[in-house]
Amino acid sequence: MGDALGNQVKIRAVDALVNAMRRLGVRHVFGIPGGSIMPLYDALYDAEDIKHFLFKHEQGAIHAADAYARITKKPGVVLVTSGPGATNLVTGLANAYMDSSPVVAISGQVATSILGRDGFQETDIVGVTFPITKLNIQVRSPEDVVSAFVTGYVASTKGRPGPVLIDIPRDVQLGMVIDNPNPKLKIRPRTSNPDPSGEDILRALKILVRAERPAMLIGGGVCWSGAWDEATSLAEILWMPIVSTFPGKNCVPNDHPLYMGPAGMHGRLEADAALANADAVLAVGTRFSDRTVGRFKEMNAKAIIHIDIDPSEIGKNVRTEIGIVSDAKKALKEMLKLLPEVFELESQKPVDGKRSFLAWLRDIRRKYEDYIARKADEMKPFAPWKVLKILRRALPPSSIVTTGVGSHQMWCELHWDVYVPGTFITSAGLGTMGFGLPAAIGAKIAARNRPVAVIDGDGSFQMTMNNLSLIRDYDLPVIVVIFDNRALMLVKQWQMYMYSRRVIATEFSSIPDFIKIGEAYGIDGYKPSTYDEIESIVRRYVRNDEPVIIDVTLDNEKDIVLPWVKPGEWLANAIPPEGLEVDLIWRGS
Amino acid sequence: MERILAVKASMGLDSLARIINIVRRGRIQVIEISSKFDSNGDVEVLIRVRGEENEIEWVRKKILVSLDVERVEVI
Repeated sequence: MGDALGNQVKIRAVDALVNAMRRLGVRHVFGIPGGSIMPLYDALYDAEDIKHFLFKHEQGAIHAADAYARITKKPGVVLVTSGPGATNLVTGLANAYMDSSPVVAISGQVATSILGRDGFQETDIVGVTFPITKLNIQVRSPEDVVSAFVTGYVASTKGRPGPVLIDIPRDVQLGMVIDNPNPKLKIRPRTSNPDPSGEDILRALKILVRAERPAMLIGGGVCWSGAWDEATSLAEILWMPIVSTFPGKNCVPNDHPLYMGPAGMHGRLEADAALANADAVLAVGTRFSDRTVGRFKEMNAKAIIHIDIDPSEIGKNVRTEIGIVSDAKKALKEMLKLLPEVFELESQKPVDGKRSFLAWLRDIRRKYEDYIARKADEMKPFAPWKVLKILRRALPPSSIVTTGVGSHQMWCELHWDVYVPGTFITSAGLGTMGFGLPAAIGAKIAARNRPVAVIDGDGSFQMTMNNLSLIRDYDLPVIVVIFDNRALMLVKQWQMYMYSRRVIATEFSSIPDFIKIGEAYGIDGYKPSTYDEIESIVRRYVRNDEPVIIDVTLDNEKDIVLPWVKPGEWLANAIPPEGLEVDLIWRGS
Repeated sequence: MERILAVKASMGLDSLARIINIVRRGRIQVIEISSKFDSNGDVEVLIRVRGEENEIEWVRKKILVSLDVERVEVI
């Protein structure tokens, strides 16, 4: 940029930063101002094309940015001040790190003259966040502000996505710089989308073709890469049941005939059975969490082909026969391309055995579905799974649903059907209570024209319910459904099953009244007494594009999430609900 | 087995801190760490470790995932 005489004009580093945001297409930012970040906020004053959303707590802002990123596939940008503003991001950064979500957090910092002297609101946030960020940078010179931000923005989505933190001291923000639209990046992200080796792909296919009971395990990486079509096509050709991790549930249409659901701690019995009895497993975009596979020993006895973009995930938890470092879509496409070649070389096992295996898995599903249909009438006032089926019917297929963390989330794992991949947002890795509501706000900002609902628990909801204010402040109508058992129910369940029913510190009193909370924020609220009422409220408020709180009362003695694979147990030892007899060990057709 | 992880990174002390954060999560025993910095931020870190081969390999891969790390060799 030059003046009339051709001299280069200097502007504040923060003004250059806002220009860089514009060039990168940043249109929404989330945050709370404070002393050390005021220069950047001042620069945003004139940026009418970048809309700022003011939160009540930084945790809400970063969860919203996280969900925004998951919907838009672009980094969510958060702005906070130094000290407590920055430390309030810690849970959100860890959450985004665990779920591989691209968030760029910009924290203000005390002036460089005070750095390290325990100044007011000074925290070494870079030191604090090393283990929970993909990259973090403290900028020490105004000339580096734009390059640090652009580096972080680019890095957050390269390869395996993740959060980045850029810490900028106040005086650095105010330094004068020449606006350079093409800054030199602080680091050069290495090629992060390597081509899979053709040889490995062929070997992998041979294993799958020769297998008697191959299964596909898909994780969140399939979603980020948009590989659901390739995943389902390959499964169809090879007669593979598809099992997912919890976040992987979001990566495949749940009504696909080969999809068995999520496996693991609170997974579906048919999914546990598919994974437990498979002789070969094609795992795509997953880190083989203990939560999904229960115990590693038995997994290690299978022929495992592991595709992941992060090389450090290959062989981390399970022994792999073939590790393929690649983007999921790229690798699966290559598999589909080379499959005819393998069919020419190898004789596929007769499909009869695979058909019987699939029929057996579907039989497990049918038994479980019949069982819960019968049990629903016994559970008063509501059966959580039936509430979810009603909500699913009332919400359009492309609606976005977020959850908090707790028993309601586990019910969603078991019974929420994702029809459109990418529409289910949950805190899977870190298990962050309070994630649901701010995530719904972020999702609504990202997709204003689609219905957004949060299915929350009363405990989880109370951790971040101050975010309700944004619903009216910014006209973001969200459907809030609270599974209200007045307990930290999942913890209570563990106390009942694993600690001899010594229930301590997991039961809440009857306050607060969530309907009155809604009223305080200008949001209608209902405490329904029938399933029909729930359906009619949801349909009405979706149609009218209005927010609502639906407080669904559950019995905190009976709201036990089963089936359940206890921590450290093997999938075949899943505990079914009482009265349901099912054998999860394949004994042949 | 005993090995040396030789790391080259580009962000000075911050790189070293990031590397140490990764190493401390590995199931390996650290015997010695030394590092050498130059004025433009490049840093070379030598970490002598003891542990199982696959655990050392996991630490190597995990360090290599860090965006500011240019190279990791197991010696």
